[in-house]
Amino acid sequence: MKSPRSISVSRAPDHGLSVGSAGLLRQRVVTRHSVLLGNGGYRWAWALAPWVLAAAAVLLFVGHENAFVLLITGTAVIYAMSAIGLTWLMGRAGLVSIGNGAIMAVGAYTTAILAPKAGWGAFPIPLVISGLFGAVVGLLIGIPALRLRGIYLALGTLALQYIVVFAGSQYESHTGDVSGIPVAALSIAGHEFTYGRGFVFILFGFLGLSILLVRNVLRHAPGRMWHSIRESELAASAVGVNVTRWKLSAFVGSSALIAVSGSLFAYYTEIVSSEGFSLDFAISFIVMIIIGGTGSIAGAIVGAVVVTILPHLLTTLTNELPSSGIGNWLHTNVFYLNNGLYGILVLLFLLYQPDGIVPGLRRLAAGILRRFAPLPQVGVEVADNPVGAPPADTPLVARPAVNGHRPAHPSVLSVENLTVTYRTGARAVDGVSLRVDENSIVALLGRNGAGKTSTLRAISGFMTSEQVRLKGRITIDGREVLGLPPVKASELAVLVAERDKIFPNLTVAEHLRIARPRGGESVENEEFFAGLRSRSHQSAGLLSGGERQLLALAMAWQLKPRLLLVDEFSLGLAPVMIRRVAEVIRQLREEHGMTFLIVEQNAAAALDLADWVYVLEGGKVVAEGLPSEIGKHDLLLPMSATTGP
Amino acid sequence: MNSGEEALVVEDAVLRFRGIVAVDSVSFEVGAGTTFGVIGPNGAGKTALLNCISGIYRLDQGSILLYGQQIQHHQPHRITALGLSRTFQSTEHFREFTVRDYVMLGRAQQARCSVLGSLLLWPIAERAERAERQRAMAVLDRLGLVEFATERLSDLPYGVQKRVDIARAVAAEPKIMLMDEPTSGTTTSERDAVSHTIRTVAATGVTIVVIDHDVDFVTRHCDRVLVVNYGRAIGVGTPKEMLGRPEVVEAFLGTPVGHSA
Repeated sequence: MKSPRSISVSRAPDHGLSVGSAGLLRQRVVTRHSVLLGNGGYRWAWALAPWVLAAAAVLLFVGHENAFVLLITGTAVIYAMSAIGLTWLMGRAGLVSIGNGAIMAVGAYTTAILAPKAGWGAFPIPLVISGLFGAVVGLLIGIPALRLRGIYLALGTLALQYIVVFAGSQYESHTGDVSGIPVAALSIAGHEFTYGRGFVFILFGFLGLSILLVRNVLRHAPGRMWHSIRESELAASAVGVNVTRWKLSAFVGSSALIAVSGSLFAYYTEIVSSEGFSLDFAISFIVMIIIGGTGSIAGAIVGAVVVTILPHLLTTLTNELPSSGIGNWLHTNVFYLNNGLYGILVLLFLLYQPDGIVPGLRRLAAGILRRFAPLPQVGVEVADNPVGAPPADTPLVARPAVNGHRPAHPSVLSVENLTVTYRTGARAVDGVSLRVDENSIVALLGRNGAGKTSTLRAISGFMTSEQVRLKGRITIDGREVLGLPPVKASELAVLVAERDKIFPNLTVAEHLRIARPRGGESVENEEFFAGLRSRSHQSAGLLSGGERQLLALAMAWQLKPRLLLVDEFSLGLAPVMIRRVAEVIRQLREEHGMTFLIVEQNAAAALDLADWVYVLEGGKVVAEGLPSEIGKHDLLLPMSATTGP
Repeated sequence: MNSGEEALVVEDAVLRFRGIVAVDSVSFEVGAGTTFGVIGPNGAGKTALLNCISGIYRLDQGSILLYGQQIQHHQPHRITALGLSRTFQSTEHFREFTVRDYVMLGRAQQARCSVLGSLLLWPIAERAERAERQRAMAVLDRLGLVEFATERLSDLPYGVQKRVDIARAVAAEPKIMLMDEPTSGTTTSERDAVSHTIRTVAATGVTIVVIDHDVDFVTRHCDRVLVVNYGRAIGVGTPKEMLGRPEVVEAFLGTPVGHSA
């Protein structure tokens, strides 16, 4: 029995082949680096910075002399509370809702109705009852949410919006307050608060309390429950999460907070009108959390501030313009321009900063920290290396060992010095060079995390859509493919991925139709396809793992690429199926002249099939050779076969 | 080995998907404290069977008894509360969780928590949370995974993810554990580590039902195995008995892959 640690151990080899553990070490250093950044001496600065910034902002705005600025500040604070409620529901629990405005309206109307009533109107009472009433409404809209998801749930909450606005306008025409119900000014212990510094202070107090409370809930067990539901309801329930209970509690809790913000809104504006709670209003809260960063409290606040201030900023700017020509036009149409601006803003964010301002800033700050305060490098890491393999005994070689003679053929694929670096700084592939000859099968072996799949994805073009840095040279038939998107690269190389290689809702026949170029041959009469012929009208989702693999190979055959890349074809297959798929690959090579680069963990299956083998470790090629030679060495022992006896 | 009591009894279980019979009148019993294996080729209905037991799929026919109690109509989290935990083929749904949080999530049914508690009585909730954290660390310690506690699942090697998933299931202190292909996609050394983890769990008296492709692995761990193919049970018995049967060898192994490294 090896210790669990042995996963990342690179043993000192006692044979001709040398294991390059330098790459492995570097990987560990990179990992350490990022861990330290989150934990070490930066932790305090990291934790305190938002509070210091917030305090500065409070002082800046509350100290402002301009009554208009104070008014806007108060509004932004109330909106921020409401947005925190929405980010709790949408960002954390993954429950999409457009009911935010409606629930604020519920709180606002409750307060407007209770405030003038003797015995009920004393300050905290309307606020508390608004919160409770909001919780009840939250429970009611939560019930359909048990069955609805995503866009359907959003449409469900839209119904609430219409119901509340309708009820509100009915009430207004009933009481005769057609232009809105007046709300008595907020009065605490005989002191009346109207717009102004005192009120804004109170609002900041409520915001601070909301932040603290919501943060606690999200950090504790309930936050985990919601997180798991957001990821997958089914998996969450299989883990033991009571999905019903936690979905409802997310609705109830967040709605209570949103209704309280509505109540404060009523006190602050001293009037409640159904016209104020339009659909635009409700949607602006979704805009806030998208711009700020969904799921983060800080994001909700930043988003609320941006969305509240921006229209006023625009108005102010157009005021400065000359009152003729385009300036005048801008000035008179500023209201419509504001609405358009929302749309453009959301679009820009979805395109360029999909996770919002706050995560973006956080990344930026982390980047700056990393640049100006670099952490100790390899030296410390080796001393700190808990692996137990004495580094002195481990020969580090730059040049891979070559076993066996490889005849020179025209090559299809040539990779020179490929380096793949992820955004986190982890280097998945570190200077890999390899070659695949015409009509051959080349295997890339290595453990999990050795860089096999990254190499494959770089060749197939799938890396261009992700945030990775690629360096080096990849050519197929002499054409540079590094940086080509998958669609372009697929003319030259087709990837049969580890998972997700088929479309579960399409039938087998439809798959073949998609993957058939104009005038191309159909695979249906080929011998290797015989096993699937009888299933051609079934949806591919019903195929077993091995049959999916065969279907993917059949599609690739029709596309006739210069090179077929196959990622872990043996994964999760029973031995009998592994042999069948391997047989098809061999047949495609021998009878159809196809060229393969396969990536495998299952060394036995790959050695059986390949003409030439590369062994990857820590992102580097540590050995290459004929399969018969490579197979002799216990270099492969830690990987070996997933096969039977 | 204590087989005086049946921990799990599946009787005449039938599950259909759009006309395809995934599980076809399968019956078996698992003795308390034993390790029970389910083997069969891809698409044989193993995972479907496991999903029925853990409540993700509803049986069309038949019954499932957990310590004598019918559970075939229960929701998954209710079954977890009765002392049954399961692992997944992959932890991809929980990629963003840290190891510690994921293990803490495993105690969703056991942990006492509520929104109101965390809102209004947060010092008490905070203390409960700290106790949960310690419990999770204790489980990680027992299974040799402490060093990964603060890592995100998506950043870990596949084999470690599989062991963390077992730790998550163990954290719920189950009486019976279902494991869905604990070794698929792992390397030999990872598989040894997973083996060790399973032995550690089995040694505490937990009943284990394990699905896997690796015949060696199943033979080493299981007291009895069930062989399924095309949704039907081909036979139940000791691993040796089962692998001695030609129809089992044919269905599952074909002829062995001829390579020795």
